[in-house]
Order: sequence, then C-alpha cells, then structure tokens
Amino acid sequence: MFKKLEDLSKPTLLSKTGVKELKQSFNTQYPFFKEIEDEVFPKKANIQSFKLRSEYKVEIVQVDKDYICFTKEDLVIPHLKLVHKFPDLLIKQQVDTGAIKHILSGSDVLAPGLISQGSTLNPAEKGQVVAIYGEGKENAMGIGIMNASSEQIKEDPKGHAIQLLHHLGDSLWQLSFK
Amino acid sequence: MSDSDDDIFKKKKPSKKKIEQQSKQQQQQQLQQQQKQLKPELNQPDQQLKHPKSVIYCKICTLPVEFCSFSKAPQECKEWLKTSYKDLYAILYPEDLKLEQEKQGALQQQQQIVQQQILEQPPEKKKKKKVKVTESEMVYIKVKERNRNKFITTLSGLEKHGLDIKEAQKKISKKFGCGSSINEKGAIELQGDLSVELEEWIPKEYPSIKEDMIAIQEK
Repeated sequence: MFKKLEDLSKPTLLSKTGVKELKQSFNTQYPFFKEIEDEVFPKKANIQSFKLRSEYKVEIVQVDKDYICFTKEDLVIPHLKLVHKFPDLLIKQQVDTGAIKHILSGSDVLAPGLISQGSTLNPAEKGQVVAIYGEGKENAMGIGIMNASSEQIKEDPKGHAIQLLHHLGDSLWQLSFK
Repeated sequence: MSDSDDDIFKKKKPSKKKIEQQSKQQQQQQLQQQQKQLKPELNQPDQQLKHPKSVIYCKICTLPVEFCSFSKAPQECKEWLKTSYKDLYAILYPEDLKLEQEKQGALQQQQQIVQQQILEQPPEKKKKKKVKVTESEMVYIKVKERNRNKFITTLSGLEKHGLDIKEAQKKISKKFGCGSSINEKGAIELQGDLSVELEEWIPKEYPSIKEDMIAIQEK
C-alpha cells in the first residue's frame, strides 16, 4: 500500500473531536488499548494528520513527531513502531522462515506459510487486523488484514490469507527515520 | 473571605500531593518487588510486559537488529552492530565471532610481518580523490505552491553545464506531459510538483550532471 509516499499533503492539526473519534475507534478495535491510552496520546501532545492524495480516505497520524497510526476507511491501523513498543496490542500470527524474505519485500501472506512447520495460526476472524511475526524473530515485521477466518484457512490452505498493509522497510517506515 | 479561601486551597493542595506521592511510592515499591520476582523468571517468554518495550534499530538499514540480514547491505550493518552493541552481536552472529577470532589471529601474524616490512621500506601513501561539488556546478529545483494543491517547479542552473535550455524545456515537457516556460532569469518553469521525478531523470538524461549536484528547495 505504501510503495511511494511522494504526494503527502501538508500536516494539519487534528481537532479535539477528531482525536476523540480516533481513540474510540482504537478502543473498539483493540481492547488492550485502554491501558496504554495515556502513553500513546499524552494530554498536551501536538497531534497532526497527513492526507494522501493518491489513496482514497487514507490519513497518517503523527503525535509529537512520532508516527502512531494510519486510518483506512473505517479501520485504524497502528504503526509498526507502536506495535514494537506494545506487542500485546494485536493478535500475533507467525510465518515460517521461508516467507520472511517475501513479506519484507511487500507481498501478501499466503495460506501454506501459516500452516507449515514453525508457524503458528492463532484464532482470528475475517477482517481483523493482525501482526505478522517471523519464525525465530522477536519483533513484528508486518501488519495486515485477515482475508478469511483462521478456521477457514485450516480447512483449505490456499490463496492469500493475510492482506499486507504495512511492513518493515516500506516508505511509511522510512518516513519515521528521516 | 479571601484569606480563608486561600487557606482552604493551601490545605487541600499538599494533601493531594501527599496522597499522590504515597501512592507513587507504593507503586514503585510494588514494581520493585515485582521486578525482583521477575528477575529469576526472566527466561520465561510467556510473561507479558505492559510497559513500553524498547527495540534497538539499526542505524544503517533502519530495521530492527534481527532483520539486518535481510537488508540491502548486511555487512555494513554487521560492522555497525559490532562497534555499538557488542553483546547483541555475540548473540546474533555466534558463528561469525569464531571466524573473526581466527581471522584476527591470522591478521595479527600478517601485521607483524607487514610491520617488519614497513620498518625496512617507507610506506607509500594512497590518497583517495574526493569530488567536491562547487556552487558553480549546482542545479537547483524549487517547488512553489501556487494555489492549495497546485505547484510550480523551477529548474535553474542547467546552462552551467553547457546545455541548450530550449531543448531541455521541450524534452521535459514532452517527457512529463506538462506545460513549461522560460523565466526572465533563464530558469525553466514547470506546471506541477515534479521535484522527485526530475531528480531521478536528470542524471540519466544528462550524464554530465551527477546526483550530488542537484539540490531540492521546497517552500
């Protein structure tokens, strides 16, 4: 999704209601978020948002010059740095070693990679946001949306299981190191 | 009245603070106890940490240290890790350490031989040529916002490289499909924000201009 980020608009300050809505949607999607709400959004923080010209309804949110999350239509998806800080925020799915290389270059997670040896498939519903881990690696390397529920994947392991939205080394990731 | 009000506030404030302090101290004590309990159990991965976890990122490839082997230049990352975090390096690359120790042993022997040779012969110094870009060679790209979402990019400095501006203008407007004109100062003005595309395209089209000579100024 973030192959090129050349057309970022200028930052605009998020209004109070905007921040409230963000927190609400965070709370409804991720039940763990309540415990870390004050750490992620400090009370006197400077919260800005960037709009993307090429993608429809995509906004990137920045708190005190740290990229926190981005919104896609109704979904709120945390930045990978936030997931590294609070690993319990998302459901974890592990892929085998062979798949790591392809995910880091931006491909979707295919179903056989979630079922073979060395990988774990935790229960998740269709449309849920999950973090993707690699075998033998401690930190998350990607964030995606489940294309089918975990039971469906177990029944017939074929096709794209997780649609990748954000991964290590993509242009959104590189933005946070400039 | 005012005095009494003040008194009330004065009395209230320290009490709140005291309560906070006490609660904080209690929390800290609890935390310390927990940490003491945790320390022997650190090896168990099942324990969930609620506090923000710090992750070390490689300065060269910006990935977490574990993923350095998937980056474009893994050897540079290795060297960086070796200089900054030696403990992690030993954990992540245990095989390399052995190899390097052997190598170092061999290197020391070689160095001893070389030193002996140096004593006999004065060394020849090699100087690397560093290309410094002077201001007379610079090509500037400026981006100016015209309306809310409209931009103008101005390209200046092409004439220093002996290029015909009119030809360049036509080429650029054909390549990117945009309107263009020549300024009073002899700079090319283009419709739209083309800074990134121009930065890639110019060194390919005109090999005499290198990437170091291009500077982007956004307003």
